[in-house]
Amino acid sequence: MAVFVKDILSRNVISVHRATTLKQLVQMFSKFHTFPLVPVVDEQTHLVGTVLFENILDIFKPYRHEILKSIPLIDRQEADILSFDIDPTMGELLVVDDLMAKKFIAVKITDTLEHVYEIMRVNNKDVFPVVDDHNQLVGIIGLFDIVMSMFKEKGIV
Amino acid sequence: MNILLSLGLILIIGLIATKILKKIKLPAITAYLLLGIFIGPFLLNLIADDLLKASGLISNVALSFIAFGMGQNFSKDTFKRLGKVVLWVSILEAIGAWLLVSFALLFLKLPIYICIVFGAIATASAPAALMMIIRQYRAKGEFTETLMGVVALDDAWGLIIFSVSIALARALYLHIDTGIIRVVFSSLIEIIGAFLLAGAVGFVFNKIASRVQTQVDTLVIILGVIFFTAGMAKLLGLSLLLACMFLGIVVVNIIESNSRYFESLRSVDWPIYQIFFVLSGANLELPILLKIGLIGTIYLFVRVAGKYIGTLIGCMITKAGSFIRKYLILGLLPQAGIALGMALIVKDEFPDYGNMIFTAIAATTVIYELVGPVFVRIGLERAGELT
Repeated sequence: MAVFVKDILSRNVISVHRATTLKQLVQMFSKFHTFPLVPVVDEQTHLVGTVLFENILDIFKPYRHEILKSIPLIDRQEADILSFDIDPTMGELLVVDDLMAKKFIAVKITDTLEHVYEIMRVNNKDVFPVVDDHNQLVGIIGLFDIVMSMFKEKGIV
Repeated sequence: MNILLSLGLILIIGLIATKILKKIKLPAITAYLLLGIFIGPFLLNLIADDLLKASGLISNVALSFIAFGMGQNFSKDTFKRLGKVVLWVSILEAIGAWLLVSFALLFLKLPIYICIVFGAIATASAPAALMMIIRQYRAKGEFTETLMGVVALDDAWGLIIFSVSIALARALYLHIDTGIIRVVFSSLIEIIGAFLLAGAVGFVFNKIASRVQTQVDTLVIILGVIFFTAGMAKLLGLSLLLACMFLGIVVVNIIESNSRYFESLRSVDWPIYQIFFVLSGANLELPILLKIGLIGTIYLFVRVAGKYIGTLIGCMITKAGSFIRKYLILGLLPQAGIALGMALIVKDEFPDYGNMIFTAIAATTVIYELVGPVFVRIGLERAGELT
């Protein structure tokens, strides 16, 4: 029997808007163990982007590093987080719209679990936002949800 | 000396050399090049002969990877992001350097096919020095962004110009007596054939891409596809570099979630580049160095003049700001890896003049890499974008 995304997704998701500031965003998650995938929605809850921890890390990277992505033969330096100077006002000036990934993968609520697992592996990602047929956000689904569903099926929990 | 021992030494000493030269702000590529000269056959002689003989193969592998990676630039998104000024200026400064250097060398009574490929090598620039300065001084602003865009693209144009020049030169070399039509026809076949080959490989690749699921599979398939394309191009007498670059363009534009291929290649390519650069240094024939004074000097200055004229025309067409018109050229002086790779290919293809060209390029690379960063810094400073 096929299992669908709608059967196992987490519907209780914190989402943000484009205008949410960096400060608000970080405060929102300061009590969590890790920074989760945060869906970005517009007023009608349409999904418009995602913020991942790697997007936050971009702040530490050199200026316009994305232009250099495809240049060969340069010494690629990791973002140096410990020696980093940033003006405190940037907490208010940077908003989610600057940080979020505008190209992202979302899965449909009607997708099968096999399909989701496959695109997780192909894209080397472990969590996706879930949308309905009108591109409205309904939740997120992560590898953990899939593992839990397997555990339930096998009677472990 | 055997090959394995040489490879081990190249990798280990190379790493140490970059760490030492980093202290005096020299880019890694310069470190590899100097190391290659030191452990090469004229000084310490620590590189196995068989490995030196395989320089052509290794430079083909390195340049196939580089060409494929550059294809990633050619997507609609990237062009839109970089904008009109970057596009025009990067194309025109590359063409400017090519034409002017080729033309200047004709006066030295070199055969025309040698002038064309020599000029084509002049198109390449090197972003490493630029990036170091930008990081060090936290440069930012419109000028910095334009400069970064231009160095990102001009090597790609350079590779195209170089491939076309090699095709032309080969045709000229072989058919100089049988007429111009034969020359044009034979070089067109080389270029169009590369395009068709990459299209065909990309088409099949796209069919199987969704079955490639794990990271290991991704790396295996992309290496396989690049080697296959490069090998077929060689077998069929097509342009190897263009085929690999077109393949990159096909992959970035038609295959879904394609960035994983570029990223997985990038995670393993550096050791190949390191071996390639050290071998470049080892291939440098020190005795020839003394004889290339005039050619080297002409190349050194005319390349800059060509790039400057191209930049000016590009700025005129796009009505770019005066800082870009005046100072962008200062960021385009460095020359490194791509130029060396091209020179090694020429050395392989045209043995009679190849040694001279390779030595001239290697020597000027060292000079450009030493003085280039100083000019880059002056350019950014004049444009008021250093903090």
